[in-house]
Amino acid sequence: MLTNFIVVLIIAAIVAGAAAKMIIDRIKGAPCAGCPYSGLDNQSCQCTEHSARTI
Amino acid sequence: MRIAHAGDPNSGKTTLFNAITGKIEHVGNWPGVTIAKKEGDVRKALNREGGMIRVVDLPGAYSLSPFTTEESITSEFVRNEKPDVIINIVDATNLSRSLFFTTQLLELSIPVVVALNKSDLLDKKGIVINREVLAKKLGCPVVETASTKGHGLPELIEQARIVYGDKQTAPFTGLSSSNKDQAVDDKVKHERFTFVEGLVKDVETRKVASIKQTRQDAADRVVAHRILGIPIFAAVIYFVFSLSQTYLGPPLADYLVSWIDSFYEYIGGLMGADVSPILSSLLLDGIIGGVGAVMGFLPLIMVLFFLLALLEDSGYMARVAVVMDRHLKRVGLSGRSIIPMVIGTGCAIPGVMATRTIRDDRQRRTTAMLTPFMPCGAKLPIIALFAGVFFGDAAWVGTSMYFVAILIIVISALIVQRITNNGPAESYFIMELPDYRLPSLKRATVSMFSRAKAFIIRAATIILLCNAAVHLMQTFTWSFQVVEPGMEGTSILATIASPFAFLLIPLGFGAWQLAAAAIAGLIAKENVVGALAVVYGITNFIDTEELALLSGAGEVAEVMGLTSVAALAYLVFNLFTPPCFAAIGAMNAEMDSRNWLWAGIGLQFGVGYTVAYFVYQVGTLITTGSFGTGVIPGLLGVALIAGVIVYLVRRNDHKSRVELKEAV
Repeated sequence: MLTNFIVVLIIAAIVAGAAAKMIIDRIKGAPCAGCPYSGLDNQSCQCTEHSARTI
Repeated sequence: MRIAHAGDPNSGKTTLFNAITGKIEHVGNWPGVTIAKKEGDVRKALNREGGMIRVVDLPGAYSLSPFTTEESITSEFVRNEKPDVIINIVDATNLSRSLFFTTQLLELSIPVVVALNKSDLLDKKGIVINREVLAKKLGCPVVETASTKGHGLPELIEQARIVYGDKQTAPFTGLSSSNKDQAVDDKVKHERFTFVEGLVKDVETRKVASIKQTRQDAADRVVAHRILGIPIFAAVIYFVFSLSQTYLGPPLADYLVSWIDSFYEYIGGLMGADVSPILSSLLLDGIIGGVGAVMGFLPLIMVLFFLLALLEDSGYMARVAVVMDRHLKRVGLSGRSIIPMVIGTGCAIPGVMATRTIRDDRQRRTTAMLTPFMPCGAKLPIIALFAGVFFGDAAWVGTSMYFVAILIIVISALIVQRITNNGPAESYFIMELPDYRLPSLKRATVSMFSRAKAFIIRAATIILLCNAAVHLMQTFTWSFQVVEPGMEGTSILATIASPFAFLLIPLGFGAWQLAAAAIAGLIAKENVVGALAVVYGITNFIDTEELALLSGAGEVAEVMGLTSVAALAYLVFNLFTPPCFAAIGAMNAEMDSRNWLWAGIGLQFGVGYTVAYFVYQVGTLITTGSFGTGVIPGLLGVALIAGVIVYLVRRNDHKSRVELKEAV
């Protein structure tokens, strides 16, 4: 019973960690976690700059 | 203090930005790599005085009169946001081209420091620049830099600090260039060019006349030749795939996979028999197995990324753009369309974003629609899996996927051209060919590790979550009962995927497991590999002999129930159907039209289905002498797709005839 509980905790931690990383990256502006073109802040992310076309 | 980096395209701005800030932004030895501004702080080692110095890296621009969107970003930033200092990066090997922009920047009343970048190449090219005279004539400090080697960076930052708050006098004293009158504007430009020519004559001595054909020119006559360029590109890509997927990649992958297998066994042993089989299977097969199967391809992908980075750094990719340009123009695309497509080989998202540099709406939307056809980094594990498991790591599989993608893009562009009723547009694409250079191993290594890190993060996040979800959906029925052995078809996953699998029978892969993996691929393309691993309970796709032993099947193909032809059809289906949702979001942003977006997704599904159908049916006919399963229903499906296209073309033909009559 205890081992099952520990395994559930481990799986929950892994899943929560993965989800948290994705959410944090999303908040920081990356469209998908680990995007190599997206840096770690809004300023350096080409992918999120859906700026209005100026021409 | 805020410093703006401004300069001509491919003058080395982003390389200098990376060297100054310590960031790892994507660089390439060709113009147009940077399409948006990026910010970073100067490294402490270069900022001796302390205090924060923020650097803004701007896209390349030839002048302050914006012609492209990225030029307008630069122009607007320096005009409206008024940085404290501008570091104008000038390509020292091409002074006459660069100083036009410099003279304009000096008129903005913002202190300018000129960085004579690539100065390490001056000796080699037989060019001598009198830096003191240049500084005196421009009225601003001039610092020699070599961003690739880090030379001159402390002096550059120091000079920026010194000029901060200074008033500089513009060297060119012609009329104001902001005049709205085109004739006056042209006159000012002409005067400015004449001024720059005179300036360059005074400060630069060249041993080699620019009109003389150099070895680089001679090489370009072959490499960028309109006919020879294509087989050369094919040979280069074949070589890259051979090294990554046949020779270097698999032995390296074997090491990694054996570690993953050991880890799998270790965790299995640690849990023992006490743990619930459902939990044990979720952790081992769903999470470790699924992620491990994707991770197994990391060495192959890293070798491929490394070689592609070398190619890009050598200046070759710019030649590929020139070779492809003429073919794309013929089918109604812009010459600039090739840039997003080359960028799209790394990731479809920045590729689609790069379409914003195309001014014409129809060309931009068409390019955004077609760019995801190029095999991106996320699709490489799928290519590697099928090339490895079904075709003995043959390099032709990966190579041919690039050429099939190009062919699909050309045909689809023609279809879009007919549907939107536009002839080949007149577009001018001037791409400055960068010099060939010995690619930097350091830059290629940095690029490779940057992309590898991204691959690992994706495997540990989105792939992991999807694999866990797929595993749970495969384990339980809709009434949350554990699926009984032999009743796998009652699982949540099977019931969701089965209707789709039915539609895929004419393509040779009508199993719900394969349909589920293809659907998971819409979340992230690497998921196809992860989901296949989970649904078939496989942790090792690299060592195919071991896979066969594990599965108890005589041949690997039997494990998935696919023939080689069906496997190829499944590969092209996953490669040429719509990209991941993030890329579709990017398409939505750049197309700026729901009609175009849905048409694009429809086209991608239609193309993927049709190509896979013909690959399977024709391939089966050739290999077995008869058509595969579901040839008639599949043909009806393909005919329906063709019918929709013909209807749209005719509707537009009719519309244009009516408009023509009304006009007459």
